[in-house]
Amino acid sequence: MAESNRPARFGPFHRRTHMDPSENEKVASSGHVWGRQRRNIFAGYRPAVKAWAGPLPEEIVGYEFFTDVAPDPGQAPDWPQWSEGRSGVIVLEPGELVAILLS
Amino acid sequence: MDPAVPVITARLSEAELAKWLPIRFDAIDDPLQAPEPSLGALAQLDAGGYVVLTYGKDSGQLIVEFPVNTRNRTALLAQFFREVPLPLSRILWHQKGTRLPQGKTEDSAVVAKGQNGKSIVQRVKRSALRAQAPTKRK
Repeated sequence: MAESNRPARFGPFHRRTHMDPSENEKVASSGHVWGRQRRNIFAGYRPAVKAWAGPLPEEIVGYEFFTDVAPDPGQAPDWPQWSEGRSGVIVLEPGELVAILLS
Repeated sequence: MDPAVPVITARLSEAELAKWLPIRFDAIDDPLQAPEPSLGALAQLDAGGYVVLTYGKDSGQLIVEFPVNTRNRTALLAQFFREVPLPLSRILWHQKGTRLPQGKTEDSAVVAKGQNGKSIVQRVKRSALRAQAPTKRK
């Protein structure tokens, strides 16, 4: 079996952070990606970390990551998310804020 | 309240979003709530079903979600396409087990009702993290 050079089981994923570029540094220093409940629409029933599938496109402000936490099943292929209650998802504030650990 | 699950994704411009889905969207600017700056809305179809719409302003992708307990997602999707003139050619993905409307040609969707109408209301071992900062301007 060939040795994989992947740093974790799942990825790459990316988030686009030009709304708040300081998130890049926070994620790099903490090793976690956070997610909050979407407040304005009921799809955000559970807080979740949201990302885009695939590598970070060139020229886009953001970060790319890998993780050993499996994304939620049944999501659209380009829109992975990790919801409260799923294995490996860290609950920081129940019903409000969650995180996943990067590898 | 039921959570929602994605049923289709589509690519369209923001102008097309405003034209084909003439409802009020809320800006989602909190990075912890969405993977990119987004527009979101909870809308009710004429037939009574609810849909959650999220549009990524960077990616130009719309995601349409239905309540997880929707009994017949194909029927609700057909209703959605009766009210929203989104061409099938713009669909990037649809949920397995859910059928897109039959007999609708790619660009011949029904005409949308306007805002006054009744339709929908409101590497080696790679690092695990690679970041790109904003370009500094001189």
